[in-house]
Amino acid sequence: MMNYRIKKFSMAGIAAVILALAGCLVSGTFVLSILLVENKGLTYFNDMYFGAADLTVDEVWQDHGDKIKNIDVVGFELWVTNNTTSANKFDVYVAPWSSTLDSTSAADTVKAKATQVLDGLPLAASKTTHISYGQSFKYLMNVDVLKKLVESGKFKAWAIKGTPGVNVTIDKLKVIVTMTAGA
Amino acid sequence: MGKQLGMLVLLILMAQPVAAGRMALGVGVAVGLDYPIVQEDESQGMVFGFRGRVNVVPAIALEPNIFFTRFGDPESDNFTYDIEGSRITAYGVDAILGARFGVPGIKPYGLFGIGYYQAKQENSDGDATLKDNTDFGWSAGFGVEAGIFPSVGLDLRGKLVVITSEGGGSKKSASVIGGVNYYFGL
Repeated sequence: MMNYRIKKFSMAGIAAVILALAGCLVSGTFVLSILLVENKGLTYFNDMYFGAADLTVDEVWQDHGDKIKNIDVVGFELWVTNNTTSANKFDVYVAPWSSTLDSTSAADTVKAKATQVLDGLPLAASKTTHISYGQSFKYLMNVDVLKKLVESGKFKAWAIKGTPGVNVTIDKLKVIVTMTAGA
Repeated sequence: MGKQLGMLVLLILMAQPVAAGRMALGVGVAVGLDYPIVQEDESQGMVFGFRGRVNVVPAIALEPNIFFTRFGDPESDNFTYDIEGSRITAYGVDAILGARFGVPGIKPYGLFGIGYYQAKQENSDGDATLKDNTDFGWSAGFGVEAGIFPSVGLDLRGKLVVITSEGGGSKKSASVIGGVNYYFGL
């Protein structure tokens, strides 16, 4: 009698695992790496770089973008060259795709109406700076706003230099998104 | 720290009825591997921890436990993934279905557990935090204990862990853990 009860309980555990595994098939955590810039694609105006980020073109996004449960982490990887002999820095602002702000907006207007998400990215003098994905988290701010914009799939971004007039080239920019998605 | 202390106090309190012969009590240590399931931001890691075991009714025991998981560093072909795997501290209680105390031989069992899971993930330099969450979770699995002596058993179990996350999703992993249990008063 006791052995029967023990076997029954053991089978209950196995059944619970099978049920749980069935649930596993409906959600997961996915990582998107989206190349937004590679020596082109940004508009330079009023001492700002403007870019329109469209995550929906990514294959992973197309597979899971309509089933997002949570944007877990947003980071980036960046290569930027400072073509002048003095060190500088720049900040990044973002706004919804529907915002009236655009590539011709004045820097002060962008600062007033958009949301700053990166603060004080360093530009070493006369060289290319690489900011890795892991390092990018040291400069991020207003992360919840950024996550909401990422979840919408499209947003606008401006890179504004600390000192206007400095010659800077953004060589390459990847946005890296970790999201939980499922049915 | 407070939770570890609470667990220790719980074990000491349970030792009283054990000494009086009303309850069987055991402790164990275990180590194993943890495999993330559909988690592209983690890779295979290690898990180890400690557990108590007390029988509440015949064939069912409760295991208060604390386990530490360190997932492996994630990798990607598309970017420099200089992030460490998550570190997870789990405070849980498992119900062991089919548990038998002090019986030499092979003893299969099923298990179902609940717990709190503290997950933290940092960059490789350790100067920025990506995740620092505490979430509820549950686990289910099965295992087998080989009783060498009445008071000592070797334990091998596999279990699925499901940790809830924001927005209704969950993080899942499967672990295979081996350990040894010691039973008092047998």
